[in-house]
Amino acid sequence: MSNRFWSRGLQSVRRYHAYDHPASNLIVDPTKLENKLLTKSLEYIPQFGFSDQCISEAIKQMQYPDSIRSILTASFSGHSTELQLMVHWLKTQRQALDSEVNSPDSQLHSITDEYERASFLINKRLSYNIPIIDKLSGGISQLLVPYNMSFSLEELYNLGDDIAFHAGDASIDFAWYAKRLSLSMVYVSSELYMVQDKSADFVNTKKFVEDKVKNIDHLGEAYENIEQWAFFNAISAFNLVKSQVSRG
Amino acid sequence: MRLAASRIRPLTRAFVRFNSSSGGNPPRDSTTHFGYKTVEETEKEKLVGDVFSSVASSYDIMNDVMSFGIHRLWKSHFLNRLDAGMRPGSGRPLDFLDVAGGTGDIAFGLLEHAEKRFNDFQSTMTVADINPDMLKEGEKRYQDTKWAKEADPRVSFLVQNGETLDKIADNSKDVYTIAFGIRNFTNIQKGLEQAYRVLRPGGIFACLEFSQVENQLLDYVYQTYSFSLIPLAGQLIADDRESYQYLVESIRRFPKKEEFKGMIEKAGFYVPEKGYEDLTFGVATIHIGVKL
Repeated sequence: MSNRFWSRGLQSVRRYHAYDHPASNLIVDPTKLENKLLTKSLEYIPQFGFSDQCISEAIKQMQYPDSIRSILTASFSGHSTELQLMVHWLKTQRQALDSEVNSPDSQLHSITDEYERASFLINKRLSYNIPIIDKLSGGISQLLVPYNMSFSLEELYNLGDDIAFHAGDASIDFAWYAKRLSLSMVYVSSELYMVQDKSADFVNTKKFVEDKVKNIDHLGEAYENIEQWAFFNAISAFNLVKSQVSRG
Repeated sequence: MRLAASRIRPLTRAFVRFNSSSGGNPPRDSTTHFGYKTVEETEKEKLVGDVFSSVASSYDIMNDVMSFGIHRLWKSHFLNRLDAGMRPGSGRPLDFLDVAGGTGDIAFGLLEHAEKRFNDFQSTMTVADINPDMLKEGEKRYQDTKWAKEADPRVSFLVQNGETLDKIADNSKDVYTIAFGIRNFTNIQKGLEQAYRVLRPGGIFACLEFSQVENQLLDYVYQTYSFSLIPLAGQLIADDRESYQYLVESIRRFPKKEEFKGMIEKAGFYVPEKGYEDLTFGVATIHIGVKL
């Protein structure tokens, strides 16, 4: 198991973001056969949900023999074909979010506040769910199966990291972790909210996201205030003690 | 047929730590490995033939003894990973080819899997093996299976050299499987090229083969076991020490995983992701290739 972990870590796409080579920030390699097959399969999700049938349909449409399926069933990730479909969905959507950020006419560039940018990005990512919203809960349930959990958390972390990074997070203290954790939590809760949301154009979901992100902002402020207060008092206390014990 | 007595290795040899270059002189152009011996290329086919003719009847029981039955798990895992078969609603049945299929366990397993999982009662199976004795074991077993009773026989047996496959047409198969066979080829690359030739575009090459254990400690245990106990078991159960000595040596001689993956790619296959999957710490490995 540890072997597999390490080899996956070493083989996966680069872990850092390159400003000078945006094209190399590749999450899904579209030239790989298995990815082509899965991307085609995604087209059938509105029809069949996150099921094996999408892959059958894609194989039929791409005029491959049934034998080609082994490329997915024998996938060395060990994931079931249904989970692979979900994984591919998540990765391609994360890639789409990345392209959005890199596109020069994205609305994102006109927003300056970090938290507003974060809610814009979360809402953007959620909007990609709209075409398959009826089938999404089936996909999410795959991720929640205990033995898939480690993968889903990793992918969620990646999304949270992307959002925090593109929102312009520059923290170098514990807030770095706190932000990623809380943005991931916002994303998950909003997605679950969205699946149930019946409002037109998902306005309630958008509002939900904005409220939640604002909460992070407030929480951050509160934390900073407390930190400042505690730091000030610590220094004062130290000075007070010092003034009493040293000889004038 | 027994090998010459002069080729017998003393038992003590078994405890020596081997590495892949411990086979003496590097092979000249026209020579190849037969276990740790260097033999003429023309000779290897016959020598391997002798080994398998001699072990054919006790092949299965020996497999069970040597691997503690684990080879069954590997094979069943292999079949599940391939998950091959005609899907309901699909256009055409598949044509399987099991090379070095000898006793037929992969071949029957594939058919069984396709029937159980996908209700596929149409895909055909060709079992090819260079060794008529091994193939006879498979045919004998086939006579007792339900496939032998089908009106329209789907299973055929062919004596074929995996390096030529001369009776199998280009682009005629969908799944090429080879389990614990490819390391006995005189020229592995040639075998892979033939696999590429007979597969249709979209066809899968799948190989289950012994490999190297990467963890040094486990490898030490594994090597000690395989070089001392397996030939001994061969001697006691099959009354044939040299053949099993050859088997364990040929495992050591087989190219490393990455190297073999490179050979599959060189033959023209597309290899997905990492390209192989280790079973039981890497004692066996599944390799996959796709003809595009």
